[in-house]
Amino acid sequence: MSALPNVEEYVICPYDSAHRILPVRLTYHLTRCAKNFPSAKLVRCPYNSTHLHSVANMQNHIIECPNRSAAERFNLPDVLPPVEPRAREFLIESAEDWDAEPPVQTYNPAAHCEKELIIRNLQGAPPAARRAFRESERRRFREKNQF
Amino acid sequence: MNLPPNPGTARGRGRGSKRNEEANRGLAPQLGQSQLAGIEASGGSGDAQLVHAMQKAKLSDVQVQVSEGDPRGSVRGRRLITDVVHSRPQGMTTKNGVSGHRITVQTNYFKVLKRPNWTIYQYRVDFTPDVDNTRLRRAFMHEHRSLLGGYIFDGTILFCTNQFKPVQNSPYVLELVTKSRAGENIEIKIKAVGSVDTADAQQFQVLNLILRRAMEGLNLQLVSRNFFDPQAKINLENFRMQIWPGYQTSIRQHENDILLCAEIAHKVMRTDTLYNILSEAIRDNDDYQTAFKRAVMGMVILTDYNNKTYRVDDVDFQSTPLSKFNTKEGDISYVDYYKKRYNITIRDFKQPLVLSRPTEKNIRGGNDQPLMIIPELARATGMTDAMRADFRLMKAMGEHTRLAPDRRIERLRMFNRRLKSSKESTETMKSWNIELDSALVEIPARVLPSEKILFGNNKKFICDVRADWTSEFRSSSMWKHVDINRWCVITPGRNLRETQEFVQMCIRAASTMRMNIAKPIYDEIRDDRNGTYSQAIDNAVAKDPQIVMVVMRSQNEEKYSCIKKRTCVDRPVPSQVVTLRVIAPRQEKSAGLMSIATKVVIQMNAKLMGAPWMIDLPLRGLMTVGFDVCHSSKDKNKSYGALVATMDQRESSRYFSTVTEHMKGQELSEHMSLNMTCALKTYREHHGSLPERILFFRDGVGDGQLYQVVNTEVKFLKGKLDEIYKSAGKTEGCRMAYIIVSKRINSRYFANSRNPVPGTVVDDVITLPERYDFFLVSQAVRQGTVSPTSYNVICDNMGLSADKLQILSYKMTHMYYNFSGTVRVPAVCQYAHKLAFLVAESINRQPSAGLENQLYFL
Repeated sequence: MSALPNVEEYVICPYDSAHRILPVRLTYHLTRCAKNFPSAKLVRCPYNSTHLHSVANMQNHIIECPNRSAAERFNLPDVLPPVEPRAREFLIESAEDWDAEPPVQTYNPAAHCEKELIIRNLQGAPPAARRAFRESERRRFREKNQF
Repeated sequence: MNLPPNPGTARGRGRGSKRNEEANRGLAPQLGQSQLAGIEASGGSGDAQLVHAMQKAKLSDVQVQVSEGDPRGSVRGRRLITDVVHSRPQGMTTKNGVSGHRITVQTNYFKVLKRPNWTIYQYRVDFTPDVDNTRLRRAFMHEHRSLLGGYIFDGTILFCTNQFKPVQNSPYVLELVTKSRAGENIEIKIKAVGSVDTADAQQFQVLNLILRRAMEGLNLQLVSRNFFDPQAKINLENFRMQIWPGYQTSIRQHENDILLCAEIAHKVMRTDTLYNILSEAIRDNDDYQTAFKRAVMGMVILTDYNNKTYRVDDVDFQSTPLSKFNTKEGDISYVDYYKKRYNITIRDFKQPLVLSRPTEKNIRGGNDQPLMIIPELARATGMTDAMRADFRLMKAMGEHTRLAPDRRIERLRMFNRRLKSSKESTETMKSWNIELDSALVEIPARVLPSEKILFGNNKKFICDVRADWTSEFRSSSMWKHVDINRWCVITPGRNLRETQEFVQMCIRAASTMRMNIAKPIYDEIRDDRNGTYSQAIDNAVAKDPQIVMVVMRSQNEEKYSCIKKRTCVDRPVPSQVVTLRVIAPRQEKSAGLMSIATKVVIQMNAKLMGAPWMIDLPLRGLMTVGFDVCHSSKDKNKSYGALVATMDQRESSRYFSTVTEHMKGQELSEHMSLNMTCALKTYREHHGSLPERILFFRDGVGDGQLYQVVNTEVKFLKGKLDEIYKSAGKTEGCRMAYIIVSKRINSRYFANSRNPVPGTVVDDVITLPERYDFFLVSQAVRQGTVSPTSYNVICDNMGLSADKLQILSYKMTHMYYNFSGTVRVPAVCQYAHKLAFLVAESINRQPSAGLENQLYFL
């Protein structure tokens, strides 16, 4: 067992200092809390998306961000001595050529759900929006069932 | 419009009936427009036949399958389009594919007839004083059933068809009093919460509860969320286990109807209680205390009275069931407590108690006291390592749990019959106006055309239903091989002769495949300690070999781990580890050894950037990426995520692989974007330009995390990729498809009561309406029933139709070089899994970046 019951390793939410969250759940919390504060212009650090700072502070933060080492490692990798001449590369000829065909639009499941009587729920939205969605769905079903 | 009649079974035909109306609805302008666009786009390729065929399709009516594929009818010789069932005018996108040979499959779903049209009222029930046991709560409610009418109660929430009028000045609509067994008065307070309508997603909760109630009527017992049948239990006496068959059910909204998914599950129940283990320890050893402690420490136990599991952390020999502990009502002994609350009598008053420490969740909830459990009431669960290693036990279990398709179908039908014939369950279902269909849902499916496997010298092999091409290697050479001119073999001195014989065999096997392997440098080591191996590897690497073969005397996790750490992290070189048992088996004919040698040669070739076989790929500039996560065995909080990417497979057989470590719960987005950037960089260095299209397969995502993955990972990844592409001059951004692959699903389907052939794809009726998904069976199994894989496309702007995506995914399952057959998930996902597993189990740190272009982890 790692933590004693008294040690609280909570992190304070950058959007609202009254929120204390477990570090494991921080990313989920940030996704939801961000919707409540649309005016707070906080930017995400490119090395760790839980680091949020204002645009001005971001420059300073990037210099001292602890996750930066992971990215730097990719810029200066360890390299093997040059490998011996590889076997000749090949080109596979194929009977079909899908590149020549016109691009197709992707399938949008929402269209099917709108038309038919599909029961669904709105995930990830705040409770008020969910209530409104439920009401509108009920109305739609009632109208459809009139036929 | 003349449309051909619907063939085959009409049940569950998906959108069969409605489609006619939709097909006619004002699509003519769209039709004309997209056709024109198509003609312009392909005008350059100057295929007169193509243009002519497309025009013909536009004018003539609908007998032709109007999809992109069809106009080039003469080229698509091998595509069999047999019955033309429905026509979808161009311009209406759908997730159904069109190619392949059509068949009908039975699934393990039942239709819920008569969509319920009720309104149910939801109430919350509180008991004062609190009653803990759900059964007791339900018994109390049962006493008042005449007042409630038809109701479903799961212990806290009450769903009722009656609406109780609100009472003045009280938040509660109803207050009842009932007497408990001990004679005290228990007040039941019922509060109105809301109502559930036909359009609410919450009615599935109600439906599932109703189904649970009906299943209880069949005398099934609830064990941790699923129902099992104790009467049909199978006793494995000599292993002290029982296998209880049972069902895993769920009612959900599928593509068009509400369907019930029923899957056969088996529960392994050990007949030992901890008390038996204790008696055995006392009997066998003098020092029974340490023996008992060693036996039960860390075990997960199940207490029957409340159906909860606990982990054993300690044994307290000082306390007994007569010891007292503190509750709100004063001190009470364990014996009295269990008698009062659960009506259980404890027989042995001198047994020690077992301690379970609270988990972090419990600590935060407020209970931080360890729990004391009576050994007599605790049942051992799970399987010990000794049991897992006992192959006779596993075989006996396998006979009962691995069901052939016809037996599985028979069991499902039996389940349905029981539900329909038992009096209590039919009563419950009828009172709620729900009826289950009595036959399994049958749906149309397609078998994708067999893929061609390309070997060396332009030799082609068309895959058959066995989906296995191992025997082809006896007569063909590999697609692209790398001659091994300089390599080392490290072997214990005592086994030099056997190793040399095996190496000879490998050289012979390679020469039948026209690959040259020179004689290696042998490095004999005196003993097989880890340190000696490490030193030998260091010495060998100094001579700069292409690959190092290491011979181990027997299967040993620690030694393997040490060898792999050396060759993957410290001194990066591809390595092949073989054990003596495999390369020098006793009393085996040499023919068996030849096939082993062939497989080893194929694996070594793949590790050196050769390609044992290739597949026909009709797209240019496609990069396939696979991602999987594996949890570290040594440190529970760490996990390793591995990403494997191919280069353009039409021109090169190189790969890019990388592993990153992250803590439990940490977001993966930035790691993934970073890794993808490096993959793109490698691609550009190799081919000179960025990939045209990227196909991303993501494994390791459960249903609960789906929303999170979609919104954070994909958004972030797409943003990053678009940025890169725009800065490279491609203004439309990146063309990417993000597909989530799941293996742990409950849906199964069968063709004629047998396993479906590899390549069977299902994309209607049992898929979910809010997703763009399909099921694909890509592997061939010899025992039991095959389990399909679910592919869920959550983001797609590649411009390919659903049909092509399905074919591409199927093609990708043929490219796993460690197995000369198809595998369950696309090859890149399987590579990522193997790499993550290797790092999590053996290496435990990031491998050297020098090996990232090779498949060194096979």
